[in-house]
Amino acid sequence: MTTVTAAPARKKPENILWRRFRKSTPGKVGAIIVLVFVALALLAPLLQPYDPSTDIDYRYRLAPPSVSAFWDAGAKEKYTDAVSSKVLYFKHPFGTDNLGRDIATRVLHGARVSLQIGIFATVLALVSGSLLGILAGFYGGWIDTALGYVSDVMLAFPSILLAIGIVSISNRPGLTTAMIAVSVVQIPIYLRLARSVVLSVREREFVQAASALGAGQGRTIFKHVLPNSLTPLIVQGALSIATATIEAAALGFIGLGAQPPTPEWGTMLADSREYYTQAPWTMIFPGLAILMTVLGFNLFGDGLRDVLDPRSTQ
Amino acid sequence: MAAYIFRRLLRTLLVMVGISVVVFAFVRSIPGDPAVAMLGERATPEASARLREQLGLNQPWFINFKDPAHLFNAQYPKYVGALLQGDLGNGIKSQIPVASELKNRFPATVELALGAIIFALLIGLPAGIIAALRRNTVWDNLATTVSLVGVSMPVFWLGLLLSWFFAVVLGWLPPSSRLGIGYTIVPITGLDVLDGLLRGQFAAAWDALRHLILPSIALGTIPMAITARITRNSLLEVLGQDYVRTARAKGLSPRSVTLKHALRNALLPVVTVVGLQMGALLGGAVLTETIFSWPGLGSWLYDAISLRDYPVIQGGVIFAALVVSLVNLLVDLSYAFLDPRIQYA
Amino acid sequence: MNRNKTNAVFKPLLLTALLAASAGLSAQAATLVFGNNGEPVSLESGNITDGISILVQHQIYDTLVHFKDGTTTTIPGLATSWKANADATSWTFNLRKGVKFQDGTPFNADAVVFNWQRFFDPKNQYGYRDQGRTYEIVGQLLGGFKGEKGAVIKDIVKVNDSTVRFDLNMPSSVLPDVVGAGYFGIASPTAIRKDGAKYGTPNSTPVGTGPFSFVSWKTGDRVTLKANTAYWGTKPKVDTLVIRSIKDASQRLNELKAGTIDFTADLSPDSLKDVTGDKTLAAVRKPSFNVGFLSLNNNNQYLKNDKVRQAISMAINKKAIVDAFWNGLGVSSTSFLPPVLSWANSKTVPADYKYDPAAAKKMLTDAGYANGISLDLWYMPVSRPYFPNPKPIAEAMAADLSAIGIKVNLKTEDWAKYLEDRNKEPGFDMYMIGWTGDYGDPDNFYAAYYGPNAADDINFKSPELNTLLDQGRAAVGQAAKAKIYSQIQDITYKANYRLPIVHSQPLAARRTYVQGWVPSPLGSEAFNKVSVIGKK
Repeated sequence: MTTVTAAPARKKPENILWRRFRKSTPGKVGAIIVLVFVALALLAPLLQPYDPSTDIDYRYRLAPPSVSAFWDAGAKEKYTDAVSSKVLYFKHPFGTDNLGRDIATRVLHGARVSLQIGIFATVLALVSGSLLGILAGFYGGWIDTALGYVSDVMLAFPSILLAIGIVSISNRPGLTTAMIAVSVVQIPIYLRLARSVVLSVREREFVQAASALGAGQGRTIFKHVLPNSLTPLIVQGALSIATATIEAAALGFIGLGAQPPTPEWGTMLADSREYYTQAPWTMIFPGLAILMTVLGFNLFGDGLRDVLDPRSTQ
Repeated sequence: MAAYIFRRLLRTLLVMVGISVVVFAFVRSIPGDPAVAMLGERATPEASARLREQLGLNQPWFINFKDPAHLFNAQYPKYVGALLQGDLGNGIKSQIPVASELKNRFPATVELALGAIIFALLIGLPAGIIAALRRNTVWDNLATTVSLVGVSMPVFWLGLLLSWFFAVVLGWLPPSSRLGIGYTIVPITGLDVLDGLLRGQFAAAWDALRHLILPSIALGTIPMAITARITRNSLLEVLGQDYVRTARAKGLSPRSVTLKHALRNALLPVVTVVGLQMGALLGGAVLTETIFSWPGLGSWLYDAISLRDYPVIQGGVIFAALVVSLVNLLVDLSYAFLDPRIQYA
Repeated sequence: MNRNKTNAVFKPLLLTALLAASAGLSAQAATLVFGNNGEPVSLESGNITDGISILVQHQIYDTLVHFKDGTTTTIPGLATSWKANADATSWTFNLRKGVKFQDGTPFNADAVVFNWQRFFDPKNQYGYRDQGRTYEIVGQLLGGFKGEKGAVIKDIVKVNDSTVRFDLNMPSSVLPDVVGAGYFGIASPTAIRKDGAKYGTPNSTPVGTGPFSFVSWKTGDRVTLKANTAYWGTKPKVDTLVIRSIKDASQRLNELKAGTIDFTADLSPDSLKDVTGDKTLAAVRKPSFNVGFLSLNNNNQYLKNDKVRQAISMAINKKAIVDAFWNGLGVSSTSFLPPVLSWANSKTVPADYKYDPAAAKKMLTDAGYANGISLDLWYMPVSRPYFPNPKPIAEAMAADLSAIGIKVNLKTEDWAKYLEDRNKEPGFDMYMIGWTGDYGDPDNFYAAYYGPNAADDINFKSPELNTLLDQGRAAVGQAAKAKIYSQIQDITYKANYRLPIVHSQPLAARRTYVQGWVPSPLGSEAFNKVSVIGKK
């Protein structure tokens, strides 16, 4: 019964989807970037020789990227080993921060933190937002009105202020709080999306048929409505990871994100504000890392849309 | 139509009531109150308690249960009472009236938002159009890449980069603020560039424009990327539609087809998106304004949060939310004018 | 003859014209622009607590007592001399004659009494307390308001047109220093009556006797002032003074490099190299008048133990931290008092802390914690002159402590909450905080953190210390004070509850053409002696 009704929604899945994905340039590029970052995040703990938070070295405070020793005399002098008088061109490829920690190591470990925030925040918002949206869409009535009102109120707030407010109230700045704040801000988006999808799906024949055949409401929602609402939610989810990454970094940037010595990109940028005029590398690399991650997920989201919902492109 | 506008306004009003309650409770739930924030290192428990008393922070929030005869002798009813008479209260320590401060700050935010949107349109529209017309060429790829990178840009990082590179390294543009020291412009509209021109102070207008450029680019990058993308997609869709094909078949020149028929229709969604972006920007760009010391709504609210300046946060957020809602309403209405197919029941 | 005469008249004229022409080139150059590290709260004197507001107010207002440039030594201000009675319970101030407010009204004893009564008397009708005025600083520095228990001042009376007397409830030898603090500028009573409860906001006109008079205040952006040509002291060297509000230190440095401000203060110590490396800039070291320290809380089960506290003190390499983070713009010492007040230090306490991780480790073992302990260390979320960049310093201290087996959890929270929570049971285990002096007396430092109500955060109550603090406040003369404060240092040094980390010299910088700027340790100098010859 169920298999029959579900079949029209996804016919011959793998083949077509994969073929479409291979045709989607943004999808491919995005997927590669995302994979690289995931790999880096997973491998970061194995990286040698530095620890991102404890390897403090005052002698190398705010040292420029060591590769600059190839053309810069000052850097060459700094990176010349006193004993062997060899120049250590790759000691700190991205330079060091104000505690003499290796920026390359911190940026790579930052990928971990950033992915964690992005994925958890998105999943949290997606799940809670969609459930609420499905409730609103399916039952309508006062639930719909109330939820609609609440999301109107939330969307009328400038989102960064709302996030700041949530972190401030919880009074525990840190990874978890930032994650929750970033996610709460996104809930109304999913709520609306899921609601509109449910409204359109609900009218479709197979759902009405299921109801007519006496399937319970819960069963109807989870067996029929939910699976058929997933496509737009998944696409939005990939794009949301991008948004969440930026917003979490923004919170870090104003000092409300991950706490030290956690190597978080936004926090690293915030720290660099004190000295970036003389040590621009402290600002450039974490910023680039944010840009690349967000770009990756945006591309990946576009690719997913190409795959799952071919009508929407062009 | 009138009924629709009325319903929308009513809804906006209801949302504003909700916002006022939420903000009111929200700011007071933030741990740490204005007394402590004001006293800083001097905040011994005794000193904070005394200041709290003086500032009236000990009163109940919504309803005064302790005194049934004066149930509404509480902070929120008093606030709403004053609000209905157009009084938003004063900054808690500075005693600066919130309303008059809004009048100073909002034009700065409007100017910055306009600057950002103008930047977005100047770059985004042509990029989108070229990308659509020269599909799958280098130009298309370039425009698509620019828009993808733009939409992924962390604005605060871009702000730092721009300010450092163009102001400090190259010295072409001022690093922050709104107007150079040597200039004063008596406000007409409150937008410095425009007022400078209106008053004939061209040097001042030029200076104001120079200050406006970097923050506008920082703030306008994401709207620019979105505009380029929407323009491209929407134009491609229109170009593929029957009437355009018909027009082409009738032998009209491609240029005339593009300009006369396709572009006009393709711009509809662009107007919507740009309008919605504008609305969001008018709510105050917290990070951009803070980085560029831009004296607008966003930086003001941000400072107020760290000072726990309740009246300022309340007034500012309610105002920002109102502006955003009204702009969104206007966007919806303008849509109806541009696309006669849409009917509001 | 005639011709000679014309010449005699003409030549100076010509010269003046030439000078004027060259000055005309620098007509804009007669504008001096300061980058202040934020927006003033109010321009109403007596009703502020922050240094940002003081700096702006100090241009507009004078206080009764001034301080010698670059020091905390009192010199005549609006009062030309002052004298206490034998037991320092009454102070008489003789006022400067012939001084006028910027609005032309005369400065006299009535004006002084008017100002001080509104600061000090909760019932004063011009205090506008019903409209949110608090004058909190009076409660802070002078024990309370009129009629309150603990209030230092009993009353302020006019003796004659140019003499006022402060009658006190208790002896105080520091009253002139307090009265001279930048909070207590004397404003024109006429202006206050005119603007009423608006006085001090951007929509009013603050009026004082100071070297610059108020022109406008564009909120979030700048305060513009113009020279008060009738100033009684050194006349300003510029026509216009603009004080811009730029919260972010790096942005102030950017502005300075771009030449859009002429001078600024409170830069990050990390910027020193940047400033000295730029030929158009000169670094200015402000005299140190602060202390940044680490507080250890007696409520914590480990920190209760004297040995643990001492181990912590020995484990933190204060000197290395100060050298690394302040680039020579700070000193570490065992004293809670900044170097200018070192006359009040004890002879028996060593000048510097000993850094000895091995001994610290041993001491921790002796205390019974050979396997190490775990403690929270809270660092401030904001930059203050004493800890311009608290986070990395906390990270460095944490690394030092982990070397002797103390696991440190770094924590922070919003500044307002931080200030509140430190005093709430059980408080923070260890936390960073500091103090910038209001006036040049040891009492201002010790009382702020060891006074009767000021040590809840470390749960350290010492009646002995409180008695000594009272004695210090009453003692007349440096020798008598030194004797008392050296005992206070003995006690506090041994107790190891507050470990002084640094006395920093906040980094200031100017464009090279800015001359004559002598920053005050109190952070409240007037800019009347600053010139900008050769500014383009």
